[in-house]
Amino acid sequence: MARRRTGGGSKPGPRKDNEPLWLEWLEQRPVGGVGASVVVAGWLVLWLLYARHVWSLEVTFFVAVALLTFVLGCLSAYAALVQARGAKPNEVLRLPESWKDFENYFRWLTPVAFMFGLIFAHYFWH
Amino acid sequence: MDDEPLPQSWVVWALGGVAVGFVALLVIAGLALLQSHHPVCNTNFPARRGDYPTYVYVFAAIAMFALGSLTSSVGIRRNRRSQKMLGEGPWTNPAAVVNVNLAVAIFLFLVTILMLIEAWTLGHGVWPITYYVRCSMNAGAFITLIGVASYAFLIGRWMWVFKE
Repeated sequence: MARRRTGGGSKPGPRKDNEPLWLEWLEQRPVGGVGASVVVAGWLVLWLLYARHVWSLEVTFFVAVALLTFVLGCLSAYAALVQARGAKPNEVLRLPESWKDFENYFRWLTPVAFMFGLIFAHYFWH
Repeated sequence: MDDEPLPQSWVVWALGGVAVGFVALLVIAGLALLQSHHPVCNTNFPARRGDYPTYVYVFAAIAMFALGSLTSSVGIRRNRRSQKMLGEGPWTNPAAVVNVNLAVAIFLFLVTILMLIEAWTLGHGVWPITYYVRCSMNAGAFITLIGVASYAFLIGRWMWVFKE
């Protein structure tokens, strides 16, 4: 039985007989895309909560960051779980082929996020 | 096969010395706080500004973050080390790969908890983490600046490495 190893475009690989079905099912889902969708949907809900004055801007901002780090943490835990079952690192959470051209630009995400977070959070110095 | 050289002994000793220095600093600060008869800052609302304006901390952190990345890149080039991705060269060991991903997951979950604590305290009128930072800035501006710069340097060195 052929299968995909990751969420986001992965290589097919042989199924292990002792692999749980739920893990097999999970590995065939686009996990990275689901994670990104959860973050975007969560941020939309948070924006609504802020717009309706349920939460202040400060609370909304920190919950939004918490949601992002939580989803990234889940993806990292997922990668560890799948790799512990024998998948190669470059087979897990691979970028879709159509995104490969932009891969070099992604290295700028870390400094941009750091500087944006620092400068923006600095305004919550109260 | 693994062609990565082992770190030189002086590097190990230097890192050990830095770790001991940080522990000593924590002990000194803890003892000073425990033995203090007066609050080190305003217990109701710590001041927004200490000896330095806040932008000094912000731009010092950004500069040290960039410096950390730069020193990491220079070190890699000088030692002529190839930049290996997770799963290549010395990182092919499955245990190493799993451990790195687990460590990243734990770090991210820790940040998540801290963010939720900050949000909850802000919404419930309890001192947020920000206030403790402001308090330390009031109590020791220079030491706080060194702490901010050191943290940003390490983050830049570890988390922003350019792949050639």
